[in-house]
Amino acid sequence: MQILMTEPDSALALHKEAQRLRWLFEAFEHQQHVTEQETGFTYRTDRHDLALAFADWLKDFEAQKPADSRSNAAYVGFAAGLMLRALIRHTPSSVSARPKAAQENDPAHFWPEGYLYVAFCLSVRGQVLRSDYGERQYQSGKLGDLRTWWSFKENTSEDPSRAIGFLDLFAGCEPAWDVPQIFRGRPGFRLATGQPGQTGGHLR
Amino acid sequence: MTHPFPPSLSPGLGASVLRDALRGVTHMAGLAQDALRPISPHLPLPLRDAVEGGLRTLETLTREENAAPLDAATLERAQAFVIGRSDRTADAEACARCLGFAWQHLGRDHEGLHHMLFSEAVTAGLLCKLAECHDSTETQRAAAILETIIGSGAILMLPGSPVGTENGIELACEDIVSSALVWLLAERAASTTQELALLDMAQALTRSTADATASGKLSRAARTAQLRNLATHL
Repeated sequence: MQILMTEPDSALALHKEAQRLRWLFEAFEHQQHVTEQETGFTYRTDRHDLALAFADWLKDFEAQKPADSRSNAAYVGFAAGLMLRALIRHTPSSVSARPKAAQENDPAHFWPEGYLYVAFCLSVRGQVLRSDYGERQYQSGKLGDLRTWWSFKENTSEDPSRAIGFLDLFAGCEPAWDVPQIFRGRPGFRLATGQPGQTGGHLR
Repeated sequence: MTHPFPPSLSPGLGASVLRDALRGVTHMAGLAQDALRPISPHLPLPLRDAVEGGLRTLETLTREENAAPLDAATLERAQAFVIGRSDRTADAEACARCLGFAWQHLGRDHEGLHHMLFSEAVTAGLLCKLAECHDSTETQRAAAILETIIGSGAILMLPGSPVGTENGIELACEDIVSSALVWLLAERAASTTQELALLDMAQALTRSTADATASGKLSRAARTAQLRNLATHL
């Protein structure tokens, strides 16, 4: 999976910049181009639906934003998961042209729209962690595993909130499957604030 | 001696009156085309071509003048007024100019609004009065502008409009003026082209939160805070 790696053209920290619709439109368009080059698919993205996804995400993002700054880096991963959930709910992108040669075992061919959304969310997650918190994002082997993608698609069609756990899985982190939509229930939150009883962080 | 049409507009309130007149001509040309459409197949071809061609030309020329890009200085003056940092007449007029521009741009695909006229001159007058009253501080100015425009004669239904076109118009008007205010409150873009894209984004964002930002029973301060919050995330 190819993800965009561009620096923001702004004086704002990236995690602040990413809370603006103008940045989202530009970054998503860039990621769409990168994914089209990688997969051979051509996508059409409805800007109104993308704005709906952004507004949906923003509401959830602000509702659970932690007061304790020690949780900020952990919140980046959660926020990326919320964005994936919003994209899956609002489905702003659709495939307008398919490549001639389909590769059945490739997740990008199994679910092209989901593949684009995951690529976008991982790219934003990775960039924010790197530029604002000096942390590195890992990519799990699950990202290329078709069975995981099959489960991902089926589970999120039943409950889009499960997308949050799957993004954690793809990024090599321990998902909180029980309550994926609650930040305070995540291992990352407990680690950052010193709450006992959980392990977390990246799985190698 | 021939005169170019439309004429180059000079700055100031006089220009807003002339732009209103051009808007009126645009709308009337559109209405005339709509009215002629059912009977045009029965007209003699030369007459039909002459009438339809003339109306189309009139509509296009007058629309182009009002869609002329805004310069950065006008946008900055309008922004100073909307955020409540300026009460100057020139800045109120710049704000009216920008709102008129936004109306033209955002309303272009809304069929119901083709029968509505946004008066830049009336808006400029209302905004000047608003500034003189000094009852709209920085925390209330944006909502005060919205209330003033929606609840006044700045937006008019054209005479001769088809019956029933008023349905849903008030919401559409509020959508456009709210979107324009969010746009004016936001950080300025780097170019005219980007400003236009930003205006479209402001509408998308405002529409997506329409339930939460509907004027309803909100105070001016709360409404202004909502518009400002949207602008922060634009």
